Amino acid sequence: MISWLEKIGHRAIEVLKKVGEASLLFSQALRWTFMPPVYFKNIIQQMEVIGVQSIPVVLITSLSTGLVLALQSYTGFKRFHAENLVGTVVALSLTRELGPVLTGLIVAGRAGAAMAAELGTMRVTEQIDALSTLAVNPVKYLIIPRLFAGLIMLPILTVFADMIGIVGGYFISVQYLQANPVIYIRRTTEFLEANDIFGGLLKACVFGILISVVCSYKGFNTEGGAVGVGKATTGAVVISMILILVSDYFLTMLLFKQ
Amino acid sequence: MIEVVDIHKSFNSHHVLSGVNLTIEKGESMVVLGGSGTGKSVLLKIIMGLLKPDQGTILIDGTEIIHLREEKLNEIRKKFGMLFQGAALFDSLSVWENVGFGLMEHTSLSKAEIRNRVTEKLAMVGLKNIEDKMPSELSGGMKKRVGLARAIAMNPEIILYDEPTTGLDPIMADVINELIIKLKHEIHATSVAITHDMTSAFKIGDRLALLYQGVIHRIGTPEEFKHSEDPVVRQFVTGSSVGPITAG
Amino acid sequence: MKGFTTEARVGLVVILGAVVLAYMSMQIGLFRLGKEKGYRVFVVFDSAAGLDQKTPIRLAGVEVGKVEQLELTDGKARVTFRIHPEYRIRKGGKAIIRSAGLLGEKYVELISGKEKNYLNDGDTLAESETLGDIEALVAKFSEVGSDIKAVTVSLREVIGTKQGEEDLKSILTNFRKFSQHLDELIVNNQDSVGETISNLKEFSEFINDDVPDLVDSLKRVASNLEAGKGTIGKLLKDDQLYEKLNSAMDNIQKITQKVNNGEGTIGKLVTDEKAYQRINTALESLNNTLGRIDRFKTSVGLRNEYQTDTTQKNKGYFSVRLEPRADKYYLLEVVDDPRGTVNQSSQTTTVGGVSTTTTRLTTERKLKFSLEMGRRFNGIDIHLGLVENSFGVGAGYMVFDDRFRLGVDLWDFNSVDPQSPNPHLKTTASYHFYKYLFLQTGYDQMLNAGLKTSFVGGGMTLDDEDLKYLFGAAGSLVK
Repeated sequence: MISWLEKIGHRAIEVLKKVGEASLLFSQALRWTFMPPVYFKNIIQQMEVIGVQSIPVVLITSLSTGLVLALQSYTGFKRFHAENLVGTVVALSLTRELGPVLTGLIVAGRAGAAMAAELGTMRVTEQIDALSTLAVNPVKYLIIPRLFAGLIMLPILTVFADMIGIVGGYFISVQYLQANPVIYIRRTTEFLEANDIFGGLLKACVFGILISVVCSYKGFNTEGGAVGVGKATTGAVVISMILILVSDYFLTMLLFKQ
Repeated sequence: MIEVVDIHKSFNSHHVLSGVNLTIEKGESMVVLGGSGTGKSVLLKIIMGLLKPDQGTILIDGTEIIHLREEKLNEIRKKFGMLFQGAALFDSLSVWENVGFGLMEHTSLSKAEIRNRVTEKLAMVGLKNIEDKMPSELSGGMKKRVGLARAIAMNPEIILYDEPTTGLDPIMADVINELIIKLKHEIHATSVAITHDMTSAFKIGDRLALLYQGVIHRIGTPEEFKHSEDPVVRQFVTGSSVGPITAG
Repeated sequence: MKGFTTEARVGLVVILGAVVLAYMSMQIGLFRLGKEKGYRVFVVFDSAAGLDQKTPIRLAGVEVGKVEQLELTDGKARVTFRIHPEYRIRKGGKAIIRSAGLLGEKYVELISGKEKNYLNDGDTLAESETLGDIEALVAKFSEVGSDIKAVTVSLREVIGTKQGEEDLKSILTNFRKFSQHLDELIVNNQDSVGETISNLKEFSEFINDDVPDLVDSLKRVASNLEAGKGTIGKLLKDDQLYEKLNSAMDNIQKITQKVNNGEGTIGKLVTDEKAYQRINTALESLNNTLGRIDRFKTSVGLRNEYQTDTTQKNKGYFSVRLEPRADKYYLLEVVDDPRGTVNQSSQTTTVGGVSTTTTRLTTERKLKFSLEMGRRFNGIDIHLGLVENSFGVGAGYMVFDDRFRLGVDLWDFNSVDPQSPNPHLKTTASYHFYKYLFLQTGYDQMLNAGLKTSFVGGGMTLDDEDLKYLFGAAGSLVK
């Protein structure tokens, strides 16, 4: 019994240690951001990997979500003659929740995994040490660009996701569900507020940072060869996704409480 | 000059280094010998500042590097060049981008000039026309030589070699040995190599230091080592499985 | 995209993102490009209950603008309307806050004024009303409510007092008594009233039609009687007859007396309670049986089969089918079979010590009978019993609402007919169309090669409804 408690305690301390280390890494990164040199090329590169290359997946996911959302709310709302509200519901759900969260999850899976794997491999083949021997700060060279890329690209991706999702909802409502296009558009724009859109974007920023910090940290601190890289990658993706969902709750409470 | 003063380092209660003292004179070629897992790489990384010791200090040309902040440390590091065991080339960059990495980051030379320098250094290590290849396209020996070219690209004062000949065939190993000697004569850099390859050690080392049980057991010239009566030294030099090292 | 460098791609995406964001923000009205379109009109309401920014403003049902701003001035609400530039509203009108639907979505109804001039930017609309449709309704109810209240108050005064109560009570009691009497009166005299009325009717008819003739006949009879003519005349004048009649009367009287006293058979019968009961019961059960019989579904049918491969072609059937329940039935058939019944008779003749036995087959074209009992389970029916003078079984399967039936029948297991050694197997497919007609086709005598044939046939059926109708019609024909 005692040993079991010990194990739990041990585990908890491990976790806290890792959280601490990750936070240290993050704060280090923050500190060094504002000190030269700034590796712009790397930032742009990472923005492409994280952002531009995720666009197709994000668009498809978001389009499907918009279509399904419109379809589902329509059939539900029809039961009490509130079909006119579909546009509003689709727009609000996407901008506030589904846009940022789904985009975050996708990017975590795609780019986050790649981040962790790449950095993990570099660690295991001593490339990160090599950077140090060449008098280049690996955190500045590797991690900060990824942080910034996540921070900037995730909101942009979310903007695209929102737009496509709303358009998808519009199309299926007007073409398939015979909704009135003018009313649909009006309902979409009337009840949507800046708060909804920008709150969602703020969430996206937070998610972007979370993904980058977690995945970079995991990759950076990989041990144990190829196996270690695999472990680090899966761990990074899982933790990022969990953190996205949990922080989503807290952010929603903060941003959207009445 | 490198001064290693009373260095202690443990990993998870495993005491790897327990009071290492070593002085490496400027321009000399020191080879640190020891069995696998005895902490040679750890020592090298501590000298480079990649790891921090639990106790003790390192002085590079009189400057203590243990407590230096990252920025200052980087300045000191510019004096170093390190060849890793696996060459540790950046796989997303081409050969010339690897070799010219330091130049790109720390100098304001133009790309063309950097390429020229790179070609020079590659020629020094006996490689030609591979500037645009990717590391994945190279053989083990070529990788090591590119790594070496990268290490010397900035004309460092100190070169560190982590098992330079390990994993290479005897011919390539000798090529590396010759390179190291050549560099010693051409660049006059201080070099510290860790290895368990006795042939290499005898060839490239001005002095040898045996790392045994966490401390420097014996330092001496290759000749002294060859004729040493010390049983530990004897076992290592002859490469025997019988002796105090394995008995302990 | 070759030639499209990393930087260019990233830059493009970032710019695109910013553009989309700006577009979305514009759509939701975060910032406007250019000046605000439309002009402002101010209105002061006692209460701007339910109004919000972007609440629509309608004139004659058409949306002419939106609410832009709400401010508080002097304890009242000053609302800024933003009217679309293409709409002109005459001065002197009114603005009313109304509810659009049950969910209470508010909108502003503008009633155009009658002045010549139009409202301009910055003008104030003087009149306003804060009354939702629901509220107007409630106000109306309120008025009605107070009226009702007034009535109930005066009613209370009349009835609510002790005296009023008493009066009301006595009125009600009297009324009740009166209606009761009336009721009894009517009930008691219902028949008489009815009779009287019909009698009156007949009588008046009688008087109308027959009285004149009657009067004449009467006159004649009377004169005959007077003259002692006719039987009655004789009777009247005949004293002997009178005596006879008298004594006859006495006798009859004596008999009826006896009957009354329960003497004699008839007397007993008539006066016996038990006999009466028994007769009653018998009648009742007869009634029931008849009734039950009545509930049987009966159908009667005629059909004919034309057999393609035999010498004598036509086989006719008359059938009666009784269905006491939906799943049980009895089938009685009379069959006219051209092949008839084959009987074997053997004769032994002894000629000079040599016995010869001759067997003769006689064929008689007799009518054959079938009497079967059957049960039905969903679409499947099974029956057995006497089939064409021998034991047989059969089964059938019905689909398409009982309109199509596939049947199989097997009988005559021990036939003496040399051409029919095997049992008689027949398969039939029938199709009913219209209510009464059906067509059939099938194979007969499938197990006896010599007699195998296919057939087609048809017939008609009538059920008891039709029969009743028919008999009824026939009955009236007889009358």
